[in-house]
Amino acid sequence: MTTTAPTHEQQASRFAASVREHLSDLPEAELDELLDGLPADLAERLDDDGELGDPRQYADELRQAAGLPSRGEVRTAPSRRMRETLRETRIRFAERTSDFWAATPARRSLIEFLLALRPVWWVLRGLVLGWLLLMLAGHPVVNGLPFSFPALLLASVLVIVSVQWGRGRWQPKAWTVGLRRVTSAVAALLLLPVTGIAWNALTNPVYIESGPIVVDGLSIDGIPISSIFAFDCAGQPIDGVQLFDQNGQPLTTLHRDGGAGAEPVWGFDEERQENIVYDRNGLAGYAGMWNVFPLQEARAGIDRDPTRAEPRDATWPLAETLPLSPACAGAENAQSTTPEAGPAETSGGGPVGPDSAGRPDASGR
Amino acid sequence: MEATQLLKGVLDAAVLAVVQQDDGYGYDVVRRLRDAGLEEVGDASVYGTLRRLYAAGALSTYVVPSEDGPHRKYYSITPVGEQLLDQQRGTWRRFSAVLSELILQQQPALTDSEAKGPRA
Repeated sequence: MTTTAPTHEQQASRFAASVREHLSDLPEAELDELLDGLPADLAERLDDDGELGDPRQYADELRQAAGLPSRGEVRTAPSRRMRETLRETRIRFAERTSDFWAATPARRSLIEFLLALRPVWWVLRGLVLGWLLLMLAGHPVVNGLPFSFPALLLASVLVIVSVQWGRGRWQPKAWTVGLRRVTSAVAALLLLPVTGIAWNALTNPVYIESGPIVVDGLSIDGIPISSIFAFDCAGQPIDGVQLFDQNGQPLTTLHRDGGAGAEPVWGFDEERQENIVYDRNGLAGYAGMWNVFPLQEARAGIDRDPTRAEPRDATWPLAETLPLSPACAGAENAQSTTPEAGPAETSGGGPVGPDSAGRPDASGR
Repeated sequence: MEATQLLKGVLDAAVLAVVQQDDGYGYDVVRRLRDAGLEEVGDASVYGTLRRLYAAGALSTYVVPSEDGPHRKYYSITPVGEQLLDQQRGTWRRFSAVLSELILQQQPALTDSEAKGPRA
């Protein structure tokens, strides 16, 4: 016998448990009386000659000698019989399993190692049950995990109960043993998903949004648009462009729904390090005409107050852009003195009449 | 006939007698029966008998805690048990006398004719 073999006490209590299972049809009180002190007797027996024999035979002998009814006599209802069969199967399975794990020193040491880890399971069982109860109670979650003082308190209490159960304490009644079994099964089932959630919460923190971020006024991808610059077909800037939306409403860059006191979001010129406050286009003759672009700009350095600066015509981000097509370019070049444009005019721009597009240079600049 | 079969009928008396000599716990009683020569006696039979005699009021129990390991349940004989044992002693005396007379007187004849016979 190697040193890792189960001790006589362990063997004895296992054997006693098995005998008890075989006598499980008897009343609980009778069983307690009958088997009280048995483990000690068995252990001593093992110390003497190391043989206990077959627990079933042992149980039968015990039953007969004690003058107790045999299993068949007690058995009545078919449901009971089925339970008995299930129980027998379970006992056989448990015996075979324990024999398998006791067969080699390696298996025994693995089992011993796992047994040493049992307290971890007790703690996890408490935590998982706490999580489940809080979920059932509809506790708000952060990242799938409930975080609050009551949640912490509940989890602590459950961990304590679970550990006490694990140590074989706090189970005065038979039903608490049943409860322990059920909760253990539930906790075992939930262990993996809850671990996954907790792991996810630890590795990928998700911040709760207090609400969707709403950007008032005209914006693109959440970034507000303050002013708009339009270019004509030939790629030249247009001043005094009036914009309307699909409903024919003036399209403005005013913040806060264009209500009273609304203004476009301040801009910032990275290149010049200037803050920009916007004002109506110089051509807009009426107070509400915020849909005329580009807006005038009042610029000031970052250490100054731009609202005190004088509004001026906008500084265009681009002096000009590409013409939409050669035809447009031709139209432009008709009035241009650019030498490279000359051949374009003769080839395609000739028949085009005088440019009717609003020339920003004429009015805005 | 096996000794265990014979033992069944008189195990009560044997157990009572052992416990009357001195209080004992289950395995202690088993051991004393074995030491007395009843090697075939089954542990479970003795425990069951102890339990039955206790239920019948012939024995009483008390628990002795042990420093290392599970506690021991000691049995001691009650007045009812003493009475029962007295009755069984009487019965046994008569029974054993009759059987000795019956079986042992014919022994020589049996050894001669049947020791190696087909019934053996």
